[in-house]
Amino acid sequence: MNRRKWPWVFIGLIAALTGARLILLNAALKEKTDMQPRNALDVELKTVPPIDAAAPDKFETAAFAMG
Amino acid sequence: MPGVIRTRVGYAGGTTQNPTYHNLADHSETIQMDYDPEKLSYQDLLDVFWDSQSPPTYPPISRQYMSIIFYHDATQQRLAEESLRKQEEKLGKKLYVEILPDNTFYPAEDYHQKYRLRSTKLVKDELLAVYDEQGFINSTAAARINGYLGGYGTRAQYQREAGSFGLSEAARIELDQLVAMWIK
Repeated sequence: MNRRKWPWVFIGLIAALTGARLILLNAALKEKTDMQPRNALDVELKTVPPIDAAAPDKFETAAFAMG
Repeated sequence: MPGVIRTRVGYAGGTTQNPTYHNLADHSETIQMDYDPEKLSYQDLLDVFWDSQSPPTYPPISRQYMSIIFYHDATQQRLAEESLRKQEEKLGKKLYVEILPDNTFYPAEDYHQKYRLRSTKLVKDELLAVYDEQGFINSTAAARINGYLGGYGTRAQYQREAGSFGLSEAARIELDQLVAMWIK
């Protein structure tokens, strides 16, 4: 191979490796972002659950220690 | 358990004031619950108490994990004493189960309340978007979800009442998957 082409081969190789690394970094960042728990303010529920709204006013209390 | 309205864990039965997890003194780890007497009787709860453990036949080493029935009135006291007597007759042994008045209950730290539910993401966040910490602890939905995540109840019970928890579709999917892991 022509000696004058070697620098371009080297530059092309570095560019390809850098591009591949950027793609991998971007994928890792996206995965990390997806795993973040959602903030309570973003969630949809804003009303009292029906089962809570239907809880009777009259109740009795019991307590146990179970070893 | 159908009929249980709300639950809280704490420390009771001791003599010191304001016990904590790291300073229980002579208190025992205790669960206190409010229940609907029209759907559930105190005797039903006593049956669960006896079925959920091997009653100790030897003196306790530590008061942290005692077996105790706490009563709130004379009727509960009588039923508790009768149930203990029946269990001892059935097993033919003395059981080291105490029966004490429930006048010393101290709620445990918030991070102990609804412990399983706190490990969820969307479900916990959605309930905490509606309630403050105390409301979260006292929520029937929170109590029932926490119970299912602890492996209690049946799939059929869960399917029947999951819609009443008021969760978004995404949170419901999360809960369905978690419950499927714990209740086969």
